[in-house]
Amino acid sequence: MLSVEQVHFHYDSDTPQVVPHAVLQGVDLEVKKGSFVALLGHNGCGKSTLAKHFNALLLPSGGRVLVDGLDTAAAENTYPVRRMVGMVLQNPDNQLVSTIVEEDVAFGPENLGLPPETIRERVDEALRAVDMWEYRDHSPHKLSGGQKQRIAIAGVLAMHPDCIVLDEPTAMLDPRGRREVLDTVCRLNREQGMTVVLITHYMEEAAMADRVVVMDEGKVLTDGTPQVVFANGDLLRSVGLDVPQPTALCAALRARGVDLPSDILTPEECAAALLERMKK
Amino acid sequence: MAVLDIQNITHTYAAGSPFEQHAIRDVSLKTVSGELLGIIGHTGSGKSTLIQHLNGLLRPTEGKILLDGQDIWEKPKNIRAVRFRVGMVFQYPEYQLFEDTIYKDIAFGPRNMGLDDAEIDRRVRRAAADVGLDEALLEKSPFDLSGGEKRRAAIAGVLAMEPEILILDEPTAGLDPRGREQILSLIRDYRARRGTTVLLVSHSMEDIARLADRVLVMREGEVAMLDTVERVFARAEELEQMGLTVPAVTKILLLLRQQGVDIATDVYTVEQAIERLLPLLGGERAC
Repeated sequence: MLSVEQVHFHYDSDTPQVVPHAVLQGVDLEVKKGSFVALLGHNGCGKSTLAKHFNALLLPSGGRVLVDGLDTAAAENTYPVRRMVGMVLQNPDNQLVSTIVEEDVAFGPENLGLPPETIRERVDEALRAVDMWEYRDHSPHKLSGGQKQRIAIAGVLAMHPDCIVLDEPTAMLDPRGRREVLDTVCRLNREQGMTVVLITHYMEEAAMADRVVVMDEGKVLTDGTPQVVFANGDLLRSVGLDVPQPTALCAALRARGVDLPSDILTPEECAAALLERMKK
Repeated sequence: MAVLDIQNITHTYAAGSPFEQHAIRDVSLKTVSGELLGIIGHTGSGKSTLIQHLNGLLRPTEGKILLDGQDIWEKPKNIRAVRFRVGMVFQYPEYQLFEDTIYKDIAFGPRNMGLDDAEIDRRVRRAAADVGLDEALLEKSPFDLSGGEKRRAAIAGVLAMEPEILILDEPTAGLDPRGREQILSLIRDYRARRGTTVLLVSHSMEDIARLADRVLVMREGEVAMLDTVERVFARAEELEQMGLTVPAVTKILLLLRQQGVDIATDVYTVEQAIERLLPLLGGERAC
């Protein structure tokens, strides 16, 4: 679906004497259709810059990005690529354009020049997919953060993308809003086979993905299943990240001689493993 | 140190209109000098409305707010003085940086207090040191700073007024784990040095658990709980019913208890959980 090959990127410098700072320094990444990839890294590691390459918002300074085989650098591919890869950003207030929920979701399909009946179908389908259909005639600014973010996701879904990239979609939400958005994302991935790239600072959100990619200094530092990546707590902490609390608890108990598996991610798995151990 | 005594305050938005809504209802709270009070609650529970009363940004529809025994609204003209004594750091405070250098931005508050240049300079440098900002950054434009640095600069702008009570509304929102850690340790160190009373609004139970002495839980505009961290987290099931999440380790112990394991669940850090679990698991004793 997404293929990133030796991508380098630097922002152009206004002043010739300043050497431009290289944000991406040779990133290789392959995202398969239908997968759910979490992208982790501290602020400034280049993950958002990389995400903007997925739908040609930025073009590589070196290397190339292919979306379903199309090179994002070719001008004629820009629109097809943006139709395939939808983007949801951190602040829901910055991406809602209309005063009525369903009009907001219709904005994208209208720009595609689709017939009104098709737009209607797509809007209804997208709002149902994020469980916001009952709110179709509400005003977005009166919704909660989690609801607004789901409307933003619906707006992307109405474009019928193959892949959805979410850049810290829950950073501004409260725990309930976070759960709503994440449940929606997981459902889209599992039930509709949507390819998902989720950028997050929350380790427990990354634990829900099939694959975790950790970036540092413009490069991929480590890449694997959440079980494998989070088993290496020291490496993650060395780049300013952390591991989910259940994983940290199990690691600390193992260090004290308690025999526990190293691939624990959720409280439920952890409690089950502890019970198992107590029965022995 | 100053004490805030909130007595039965109610705030009604759009009173008398069809849109009348009680944002908070009959809230009472008295701060303990030098404590760190965590404030949690679901979106819409009234946390923000409550804190906006504490430095007079909102005036209660009913009830009183006493600062060191004095009603802050006794002379409405003097409310500005209250705002210097009760400092407020809003959510995403870096959006409010507006001067062309960090120095001028931090100096804005002290300048408004009418202090002389020497005192302003002392305060700006001290506040910058308090938040761990390098002196070299003071002459830079806010545009040249990273997100975490901007956030710290914005907090310094409030600290420079040397408030007796400091209120922070989700100071770690949107930061990566390292950025969160920096902000939390700066709050902890600042408080240890100055003895300032701190009110911290957060969605992160882990942060509250690590820093707070007491926790106020708001629900639908009312005080649902106000107690020590230990006692509040011991009521984890009720918190979950309110749509709040408890720390993951607390959740693990709750799950164990549901399965019939005899274990107390008033635990919220990995270290505490280890202490509780080791005896049950027959591992080595912690030294």
